[in-house]
Amino acid sequence: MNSPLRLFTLFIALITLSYCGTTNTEEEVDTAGFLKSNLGDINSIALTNFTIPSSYDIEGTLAPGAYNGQKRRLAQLKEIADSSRNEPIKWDLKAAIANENYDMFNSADAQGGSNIRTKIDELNFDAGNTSVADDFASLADLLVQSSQANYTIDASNGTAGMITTGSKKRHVSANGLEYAQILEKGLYGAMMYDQMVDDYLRDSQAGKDNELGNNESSVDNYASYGTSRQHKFDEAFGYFGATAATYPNAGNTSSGDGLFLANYTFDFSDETEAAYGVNLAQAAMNAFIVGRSVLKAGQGFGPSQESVNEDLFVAARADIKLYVEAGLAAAAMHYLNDAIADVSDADKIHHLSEALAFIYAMSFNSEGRLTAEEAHNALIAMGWSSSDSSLNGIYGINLWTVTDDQMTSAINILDQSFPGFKDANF
Amino acid sequence: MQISKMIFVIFKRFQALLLSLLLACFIISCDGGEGALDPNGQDDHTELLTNQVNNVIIPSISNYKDATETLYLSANNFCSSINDSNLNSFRDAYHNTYKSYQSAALHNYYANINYDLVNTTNLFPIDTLLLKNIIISTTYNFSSESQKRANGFPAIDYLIYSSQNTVGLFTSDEKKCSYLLKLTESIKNKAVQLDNMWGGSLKENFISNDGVEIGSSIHVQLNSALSYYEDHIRENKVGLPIGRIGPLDSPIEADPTKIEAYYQSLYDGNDLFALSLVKESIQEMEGLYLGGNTLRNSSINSGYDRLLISRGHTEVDSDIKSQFDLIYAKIDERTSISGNTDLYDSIQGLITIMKSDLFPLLNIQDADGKNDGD
Repeated sequence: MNSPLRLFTLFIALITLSYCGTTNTEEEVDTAGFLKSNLGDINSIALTNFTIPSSYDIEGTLAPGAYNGQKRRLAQLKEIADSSRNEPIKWDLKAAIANENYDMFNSADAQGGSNIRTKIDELNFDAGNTSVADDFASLADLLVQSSQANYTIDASNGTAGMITTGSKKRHVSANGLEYAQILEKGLYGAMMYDQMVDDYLRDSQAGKDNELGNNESSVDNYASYGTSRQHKFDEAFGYFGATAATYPNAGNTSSGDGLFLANYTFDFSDETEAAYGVNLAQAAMNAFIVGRSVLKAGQGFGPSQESVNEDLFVAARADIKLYVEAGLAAAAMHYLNDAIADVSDADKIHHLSEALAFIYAMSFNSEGRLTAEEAHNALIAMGWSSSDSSLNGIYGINLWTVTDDQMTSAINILDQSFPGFKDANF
Repeated sequence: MQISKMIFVIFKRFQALLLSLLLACFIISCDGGEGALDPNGQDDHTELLTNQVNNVIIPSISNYKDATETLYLSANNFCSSINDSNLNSFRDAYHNTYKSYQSAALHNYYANINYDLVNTTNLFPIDTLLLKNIIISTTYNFSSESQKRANGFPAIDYLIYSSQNTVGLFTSDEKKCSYLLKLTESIKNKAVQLDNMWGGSLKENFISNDGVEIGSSIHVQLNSALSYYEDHIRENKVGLPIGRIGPLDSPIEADPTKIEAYYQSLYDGNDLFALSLVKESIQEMEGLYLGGNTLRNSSINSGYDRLLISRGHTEVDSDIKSQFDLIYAKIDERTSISGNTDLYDSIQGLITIMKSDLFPLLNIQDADGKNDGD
């Protein structure tokens, strides 16, 4: 072979090798876009002297740990949501949210010394500003009063009463607002999401600035709850609503073994996997497992013996916030898409109520991809008060008359923060 | 060399030697020893912590374990031959074990709190109806929440002192012995478990966990012991029976039935045994403070007293020791826990000194960490 030919062959070989050397990870990154994991390749993460479990193994390798209060509140919300489907609603939902006398609930899971009210927008609540909690209390009263007054009436534009979607009857206001959706999904944001992203995952709680640190000596109930950082992290996980041992369970097509936030994150994971190569539910769960493992692996007997890989922890936390927020955004998109496609007014106002609630819920993240102002703008596009971003701003919307163009505007605003979501077929 | 010159040279050498000696003394006195402050702010308390483990904590846990083994054997002897002699032997073993428990229980941290020693061994008063039903059922779970008010030493107190005819009651009802044997076995097993824990890696972890910040062994020990002292000595042993909770709380209704060994106090007609239990617990608190040097041998000074003394706070050390003496005096001058508040006040006095003086002087934050469990 002569020299030029050899050189040419060598050149071709080099080109071929460099093409074949393009890693799948790089391809996946390009596809993932803004959903790219901060943790990178999960399978390549190794912790010193600790094997990361395949589930949130809170009773095994990650023990001790517990999040009983969170489970209790989710059980309480489930009872509240379930009861709001039985008309007329005779239960005092406002009292149930406050769990007055700590004996409002029937199920054993919901009973106990916890309530939902004091955890609504808690950081502000504890500082004396209970306005968000008060808004939900008022909403609960509105639902109960309207239900008792109008449960025999067929709803129409200007008349509160019942609509029928599929086989279900739902109660709406004169403006077509399905109170129960706002109550339930609004609380996803004001309680669970807010507690997760703006409270428990903070540096002063699960993060590096927790003054009790990540050691078993600083707390006197380590045997039940783990270190202080671990417990705060578990509480954030508790609000996600995933079943620790099995989520996401692809075999459970209804919920994936997740409640509320985890349920909706699961619901749209197939779509995000198809569009971005990222299964939201699995990615969120991976981040929870890695974050908790980092804390377990790095715990000390005393404060001077801790060795937390803070870079990994921060990356895991970033993923949790990213994927949970994306789940909410996907849900909002889904319901807007449905409302636009709906033929019947009943279906439309039901789906629109859900969408409004999910977008309002997304406003409870001070560091989200979607800012609170952007969430409000999306809501304003559909008639929410431009001067009142609180829940009270919803009551001026006439859902019967919200147009497809308005909902499309909202979709476009959301898409700015979640590029490509409007085309992801949620 | 002229004599004057020789003298001058000798004097100069003497001066140099004297200076060297003075310099050496200065260096040695400035050397960071136990209790002296390190200019970098990192004190080394290894010796103190080692002493605490070897001469205070482990001996108390070990003695308690030994006593529970004797208690269990004595229960077996009694139940295999129910008579007055064996009952008296069992009562003696019970007294000895209950006293040993007071020392072990003060160390309500690490293994002791993780295994819930206090709540599974000494919750009083008991629920006598619950106890009767449990005995009838022959179903026992000495770790369960549902049986916590029919457990431990208070349950034994009821079984062996609530009647003038204890032998007769045990003879006529074999279920009482079934329960007693299982209870004393449970008490023993827990003590063995704790003894094993403190003899294992916990000991080394405790010693190496230096410093005084939150989570350090010193912080944990002092805060947890003082918390136990407030809740289980001041309040439970003395306060509630005389109608006092915290020193700033309004008085509540006195309840003389809420003392340790209540049924024995009825049997004996006095609270002397209950008072002896109070004394044991106070003595353990003193032992902790003194690092086990309960004879107060000033040449030893191996406890927290040494830290105070080495930093020039002898008056605080003296106040603490005087307060312990006062508490003992107040215990000795009464035969009933009920009555005036002298004993309560003297017990509270130690808390005041520790929180106001000891903790700040040792730079220990008055705080116990707790996960909110929420």
